[in-house]
Amino acid sequence: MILIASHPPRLPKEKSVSMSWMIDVAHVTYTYPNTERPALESISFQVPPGQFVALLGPTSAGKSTLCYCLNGVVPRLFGGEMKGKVVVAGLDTYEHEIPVLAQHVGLVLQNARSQLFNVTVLSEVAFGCENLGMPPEEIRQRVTEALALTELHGLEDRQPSTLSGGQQQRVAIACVLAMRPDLLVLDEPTSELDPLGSEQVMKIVARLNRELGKTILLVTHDTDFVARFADRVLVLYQGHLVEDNTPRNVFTNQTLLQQYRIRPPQVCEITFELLSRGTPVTQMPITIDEAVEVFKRLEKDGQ
Amino acid sequence: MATSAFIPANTFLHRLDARSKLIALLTILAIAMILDHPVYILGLLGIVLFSWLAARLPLNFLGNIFKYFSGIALLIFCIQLFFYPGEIYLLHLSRPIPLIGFSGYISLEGVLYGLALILRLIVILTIAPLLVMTTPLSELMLALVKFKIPYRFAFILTTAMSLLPSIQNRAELIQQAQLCRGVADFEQGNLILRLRASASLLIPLILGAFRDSQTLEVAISSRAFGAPVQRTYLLETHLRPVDYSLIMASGLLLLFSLWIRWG
Ligand SMILES: Nc1ncnc2c1ncn2[C@@H]1O[C@H](COP(=O)(O)OP(=O)(O)OP(=O)(O)O)[C@@H](O)[C@H]1O
Ligand SMILES: [Mg+2]
Repeated sequence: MILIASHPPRLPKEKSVSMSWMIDVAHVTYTYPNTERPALESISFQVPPGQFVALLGPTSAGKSTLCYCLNGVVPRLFGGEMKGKVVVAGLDTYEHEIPVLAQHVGLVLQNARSQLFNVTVLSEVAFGCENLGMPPEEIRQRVTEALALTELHGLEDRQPSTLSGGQQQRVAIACVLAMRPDLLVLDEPTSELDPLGSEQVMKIVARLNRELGKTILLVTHDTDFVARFADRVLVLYQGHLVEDNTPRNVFTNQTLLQQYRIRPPQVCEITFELLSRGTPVTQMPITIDEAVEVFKRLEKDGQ
Repeated sequence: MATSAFIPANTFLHRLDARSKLIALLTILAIAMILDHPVYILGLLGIVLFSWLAARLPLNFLGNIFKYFSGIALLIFCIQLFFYPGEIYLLHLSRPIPLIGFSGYISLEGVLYGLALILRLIVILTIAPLLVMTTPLSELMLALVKFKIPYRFAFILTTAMSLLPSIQNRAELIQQAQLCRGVADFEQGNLILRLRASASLLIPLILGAFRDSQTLEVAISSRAFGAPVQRTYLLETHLRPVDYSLIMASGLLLLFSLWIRWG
């Protein structure tokens, strides 16, 4: 009773046509079904390949919704009404199905537990490639590669639910890496992790950007990390894109931070405090390394 | 913390292919339905219990099954005892009461049939765990797929099975949290208090499950679930000679019991 399935060709990876932007979002307005107010309103921005973009904003700003737009689950899975155009890796999300987009955009979600559903880490990471109909040898190769990138080798046979939070979230990253996407969209991947777990995950994210040149769109409240690694910060507020700037310009602008309820990196908070006490800090640090430099200089000047 | 029903070990049963185990399971279930003399079903139960021991599965689980279902079993037995229309009278109890269909006698057939029903129930209750505890869900799913069950269905079935323990865990967590907040104990107080307590457990559980299922849906779709191609499987399974033997034995046993019943 052996049934050998013949393999019709696997899902081809659509080649992007002359792509200058990894993400090109134009005038997107989206309303969830059975709701009045749009979750996103006339959002437009472009991201070149290789850029590390952080998406900040208070709760209910629409950050997750924007992430969902980028791989087509909004509106394909959620329904609702969408206007405007989203082009990712040269593919219009209107024209291409989610499985096609999945080979270009990897989406990692906040809650590790409920995005892992397979019995072993191995089957978890292989899941996407199996769905795409890749031959087993290739899947094995990709899984090994993805587990190496996320520093999970040796855990292949473990049950995902028995791993630590940090490990689970790295499994989730490995799962999308196995499909070799050009763009990684991470929706608060560390908000449910302890500091050690967050550190492990963020280290991987930074490396995927710096060493492999993956484009990253990261939703997080960890502005210390954003200040160190992101090239650019987008701020969403009540469905509107209210700021698109460098981390430095965002984190040193106290009015903007307060207005949109964004907690700046710790060194910025300290510097704001010093400034308010009249310490003449001329150059605002945004990372610990910079702060060390600036405060050393202050000390030398006898402040 | 229970994470999954599968209990890893390297026994004969664990090494069998999920397909042959599935076939053997269905055969035993079928025979338990075809034959209705308790001796035969006792024989089936013997096979199940022997396999249970051979697979080194926890005996206290078996004990729990008996504990939870002994009440129902007793009820079923009594109903057969009093109402089965037999011919060989064992015990005369009272005048017949036609209104409720009671003949006034306890018959041999009633006893036997009651026993058969109980044993049948035990076979059904113990054989499914035997499969799930010795087979990883991924292999079970593959077996279903190879039996031409649509992948979507096999996936939903096995995923639901794998999520059960985590739902149970969360129920316990919520129960503890509610207890800490002073919501009534689930096992004490009058009916209304207990109902209120259950609601305080169920509502967060359902809301949580709903939120999780939405996340799950996004996660599954984002990983190319349902791509319009023939799915491939990393895991490979092979039927070995023991598997073929088991399948053959199952077939023969099934034919034999058909012959006993109708031959
Ligand atoms: N499935 C849904 N159906 C209807 N409305 C939704 C749905 N999901 C989100 N919303 C609404 O859309 C708006 C934006 O939600 P979204 O989850 O994108 O915010 P967010 O910035 O990710 O918030 P958080 O920081 O809490 O994750 C909110 O007002 C929310 O209530
Ligand atoms: Mg969100």
